[in-house]
Amino acid sequence: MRRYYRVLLVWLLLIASVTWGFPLAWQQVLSEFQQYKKLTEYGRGESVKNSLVYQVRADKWVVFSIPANTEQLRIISNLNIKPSIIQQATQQELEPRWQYALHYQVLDRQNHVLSEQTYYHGTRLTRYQDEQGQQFYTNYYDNNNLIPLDGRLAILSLKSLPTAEKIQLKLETFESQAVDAVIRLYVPIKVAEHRIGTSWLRMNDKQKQALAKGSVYPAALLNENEKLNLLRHQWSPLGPQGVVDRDYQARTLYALNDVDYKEVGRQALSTGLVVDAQQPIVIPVVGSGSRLLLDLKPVDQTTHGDVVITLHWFGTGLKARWQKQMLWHGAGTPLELTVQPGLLEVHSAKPLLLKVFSQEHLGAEKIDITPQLVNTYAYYADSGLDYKIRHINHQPAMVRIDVRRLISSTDANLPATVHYQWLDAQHQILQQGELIALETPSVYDRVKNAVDNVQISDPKRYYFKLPNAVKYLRISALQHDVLVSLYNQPIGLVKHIAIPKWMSMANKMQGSDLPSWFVMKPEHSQSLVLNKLLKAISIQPRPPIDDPYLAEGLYLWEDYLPERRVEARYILVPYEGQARRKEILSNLYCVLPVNQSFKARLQAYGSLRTLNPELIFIRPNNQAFDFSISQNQRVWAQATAKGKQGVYYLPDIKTGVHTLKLQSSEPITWLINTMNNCQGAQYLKRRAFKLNSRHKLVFNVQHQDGVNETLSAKIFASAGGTQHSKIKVSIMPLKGNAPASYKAYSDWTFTQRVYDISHQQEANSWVLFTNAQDINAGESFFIPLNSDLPAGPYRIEMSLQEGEVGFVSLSKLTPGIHAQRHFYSKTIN
Amino acid sequence: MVTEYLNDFDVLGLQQIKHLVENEGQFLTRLIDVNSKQAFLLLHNNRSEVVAVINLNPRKLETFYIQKNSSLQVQLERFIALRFTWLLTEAE
Repeated sequence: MRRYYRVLLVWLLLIASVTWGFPLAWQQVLSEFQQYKKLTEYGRGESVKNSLVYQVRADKWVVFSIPANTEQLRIISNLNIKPSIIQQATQQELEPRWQYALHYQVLDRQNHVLSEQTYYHGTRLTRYQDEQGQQFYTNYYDNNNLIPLDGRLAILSLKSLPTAEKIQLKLETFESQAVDAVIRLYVPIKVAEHRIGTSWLRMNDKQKQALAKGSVYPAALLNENEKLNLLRHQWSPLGPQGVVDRDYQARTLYALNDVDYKEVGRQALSTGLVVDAQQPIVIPVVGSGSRLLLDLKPVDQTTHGDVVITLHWFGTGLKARWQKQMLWHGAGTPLELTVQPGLLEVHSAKPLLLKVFSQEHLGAEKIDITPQLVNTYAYYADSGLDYKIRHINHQPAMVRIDVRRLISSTDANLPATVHYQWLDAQHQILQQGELIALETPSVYDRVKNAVDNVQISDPKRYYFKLPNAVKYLRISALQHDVLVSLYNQPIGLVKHIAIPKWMSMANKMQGSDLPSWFVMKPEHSQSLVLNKLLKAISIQPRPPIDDPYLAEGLYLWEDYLPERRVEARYILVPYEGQARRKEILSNLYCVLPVNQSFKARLQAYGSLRTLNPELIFIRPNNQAFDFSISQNQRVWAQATAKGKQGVYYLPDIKTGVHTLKLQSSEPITWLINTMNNCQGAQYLKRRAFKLNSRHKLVFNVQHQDGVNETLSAKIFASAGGTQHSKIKVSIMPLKGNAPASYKAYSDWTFTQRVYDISHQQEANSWVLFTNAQDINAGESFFIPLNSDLPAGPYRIEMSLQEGEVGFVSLSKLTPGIHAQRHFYSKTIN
Repeated sequence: MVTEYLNDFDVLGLQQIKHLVENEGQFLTRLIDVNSKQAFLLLHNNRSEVVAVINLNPRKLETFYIQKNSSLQVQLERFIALRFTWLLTEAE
């Protein structure tokens, strides 16, 4: 009885545990199954392919034997993630790529490592959605609920490793959501040539179809050569060494083929650039101007009704600007406009996709000129970045650091700072400091594939002139949202600049511009990429920012004379400035009406009460002719003149308003200076110096401490001459080079520059005191002397490297209100 | 030095190579294969003959040797396709 009691007790315990435990366990299994079913349910007639795959982990090698004389290995891998990640993740979070790497060693018979490499992969999760909105994936397992991401292929060549016997692999990943990965290896099947002819005949239809899957034609339509090629390139799977569940783990991976549902997250977006109210698109317009078609499409289905499109155009010069608004009525009706060369900035009140076409006239061929956004890359500074610094001939190394900040709506308003250290060869700190990022989001730059509308600030640029003792530059940050990009430049770099400026911008967009700063990679950059510590940023050209002082005519003008005597000319250049500065009235000439009276307000500079205006005539022939000019109905001057050009110095006249009348026996062009109420065209008289290939032009200028100064040069060339000039400009300190300073500069000066100038071909200007030489309106180019240059005298050397001889003027224009000294003379009675 | 440059693409590393080559009386030119879009550095000796070719974005840090008794064009095409680092003539 006692014996039966024990058996009864065991049975009772067993029944109790099954009664209470089984429902719990079943519930768990059911829940897992439901979850798994929910994620992988398909059953819609798609074909399924299964493959035997082997688990790879970070902590254990999986070893495969390689058959003798194997020349190639195919390794297909899938990274696995937990299903709970998918449920928690938002749509946007699923879009980024997961990154992982396969670390492998190829070994010989004695287990010596013949080759050791890491193969990096980026993958994603392809998801489909059925009519009920339920999502499912192409890959799944039958015996666990991990989600396999899309497979990635690596092909290894073993040709250079004839003694290879084994390959062992490990997983490398820094993705927190990743659990493990699976791999399958394939080697080429060696089919003896004499068997190839009969192999096809011995295959069944299923095998033939499988072999011909990659062909355009089905198996039945393949010709003999195609069949032979297919038979020569077959692959056979390879299994790992050891015992299953002890040395390796095997799984069956199922993959859906021919899925006929819509893929999630990869909707076929129309091509184009997204433009909205905050983030405009800047279009460089090149050539002689274009008729543009702005083809706009909605980004998604939520955009309805008319959308206001705001356009800003920036040409060369302060006056070459316009802004207008157009209404977009919906897809299919592109906006048309004619735009001169320059930059066109497009804003849209609602997000739209923009494509830009250039079309000469209606019906002509449309050329796609949609700008390609240039990508730049920046590293997260908080990851700790070490850069190796090289020096050529012990000279200081020039380094530029761009500091940016990622800005999201939740950011606290703390300044983002980067800490830098200059290290010597023994990693001892020579100098250290902090660099600050800008706080406001950039209008033009965007984070590529931005998640949650993260924006990026404009780069705050810093420059170092690192002395020879500095061998490493270390960058770090406490905040996670600071990004840095480092650049250096070769010693003796010459900066090339295309003029007009919009050509330079177009070259930059098209990648044909010569770079002046070169990207530096930190040490272990591959590991940083694998850890996603690199961010891609799309950048655009920036339209010029107009100085309000210049627009108002408030500036100080200083003209420079060359060091030695050179041939010079006075040139009358079309003047388009709005503001009539009394300082320039003596050099500003107004085209006069002939044979009719007009009121002229004559004004002298300073406190002079009388003046002697100059009267200039320009005509096509040389014969003598008569002219007279009267003021307030009294003859002021009359004479006979001859020649194509001439200047007549008029007698003294009081400042103020006079009624003038100019009479001439020929209808020719007359101009007068000192007139403050000009109604006709105006011309500014400028002095310019001849620049040819034989003689340099040398100017001496004074640079102030800690100030960015810009010298403005203008070259006038013969109209209809060769179309370009290449001018080299060298900036040299007169007192010798100052030693590199241990500090960060906020600006940089390229002291060796080459300007490739495309000349205008129209004869817009007049050269005075010549026999009517045809000359263009001139092309401006700018020579900055920035705050990184020590204060003192500098020598500016200009030499013509190739192209058209021209006349060059050099001046400095300092915007702002400047104190000026006035002299008064008073007669004492 | 070339291997170091191909690892970090530091422009000053390239300038160091250029200085070294020029000190030997040799010089470098850059060549872009328009078909494969690959960039190469050609090392010329003081008689302007090409003595070595370096692929600036190689797949492998290996050397391809030109065999004198094979077609040069075929070998060049093979070198471009393999994306080896160095192209040298086989030592006699």
